[in-house]
Amino acid sequence: MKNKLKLVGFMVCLIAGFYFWSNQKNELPALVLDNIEALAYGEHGDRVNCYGDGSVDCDGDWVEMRITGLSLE
Amino acid sequence: MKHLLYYILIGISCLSACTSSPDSHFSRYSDFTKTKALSAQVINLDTILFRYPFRVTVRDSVAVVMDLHNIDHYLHAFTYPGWKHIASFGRRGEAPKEMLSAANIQFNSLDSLWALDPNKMQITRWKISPSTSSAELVEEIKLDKKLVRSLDFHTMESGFLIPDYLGEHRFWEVDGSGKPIKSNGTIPSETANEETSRPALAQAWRSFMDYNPENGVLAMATQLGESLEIYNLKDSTHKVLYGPAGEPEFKTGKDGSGVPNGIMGFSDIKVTNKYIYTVFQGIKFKDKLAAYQRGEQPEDGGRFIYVFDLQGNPVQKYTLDRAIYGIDINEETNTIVATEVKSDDPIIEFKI
Repeated sequence: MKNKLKLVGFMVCLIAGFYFWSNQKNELPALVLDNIEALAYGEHGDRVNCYGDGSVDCDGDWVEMRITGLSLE
Repeated sequence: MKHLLYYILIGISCLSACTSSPDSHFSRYSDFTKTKALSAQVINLDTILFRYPFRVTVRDSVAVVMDLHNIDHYLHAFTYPGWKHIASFGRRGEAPKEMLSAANIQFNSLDSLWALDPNKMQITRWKISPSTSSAELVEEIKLDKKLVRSLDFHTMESGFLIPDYLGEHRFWEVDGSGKPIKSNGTIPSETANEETSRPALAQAWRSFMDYNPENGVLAMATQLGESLEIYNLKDSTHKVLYGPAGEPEFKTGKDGSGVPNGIMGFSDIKVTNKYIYTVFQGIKFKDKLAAYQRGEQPEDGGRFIYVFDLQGNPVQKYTLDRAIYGIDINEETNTIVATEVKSDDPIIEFKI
């Protein structure tokens, strides 16, 4: 009985460990991206800005990027 | 003990349900059976200066280039293959017969060069006369307000095909007077739900389209992400394909509009009698931003042409030595004419 409980406890720890590890791995790129954007523009809300000459539609103009935060200029 | 085992099983089931990936029910492609590198041949032009040559189309002995950002004229006709200037037309301006913008062109014959102006919400038809080196406005079609804003189009047997702007449908069939008569399909997103803003979703799924009336195939490729749709309007079949970059990624801005995220995907699409040709970029927006931060100008255009058969099976991947935007395909001469924006040699050709 004691051995069975130990085995069950070990399995639960293993599954929980894997669950948290895999979740951390999935969230990392989004976190990195957010940090890059925060560094580039500061945390200035989500106002939409159009930047450069390109092919992305932005308020009746064609721009290179449509971004949130401060303009790159 | 038995109860404990049940609790553990329930716990594991809950964890696996919470961690499962979103439903992925559309086909995926990853590899092309054939790959080939292509080198560009530069076309020498005489006088025209382009700012952003976005589209090129060739019909018999005339080529037309559409410039997205030109300050004088949006449209320029040349002899082909000599590339001697015939006429510049579609003057930029707010006066009658002038254009506020240009999004795409469709060249059916010398008296049917169609141009879409999304800011004026109209489609114009032009007649090109190489003998007199002129182009004349023949017809103006006002697009119905119900369409809101049309970013691409294609002529069909009667009327036009136009992508839906509000995200409730995928595309519209529009009659010859500009009135929408039938809506078709929905945006094939695997991640959007009822809370997703439909206009933002539609903006993120902004697509380039081409239609071949010979085989009834309408193909649409997304500007963001890597999604391709093939509608056969003759047998009413529909196929959705996702590439490795998946569907368009976006954030919803405060104003409810879609803000691009992820990658720049396709730049142009052409449907021939046998194949679907697409220009693919694959450049991440965060890499573009990083380039600006380093004081560099990021590349604008695609270095890949992906070829699919009409059923959507990947056939060939061409890797280019230039980053291109618009293409014209001639399978009889095995020639691809392409535009290169922000280049001193904006018109190039590839032999396939």
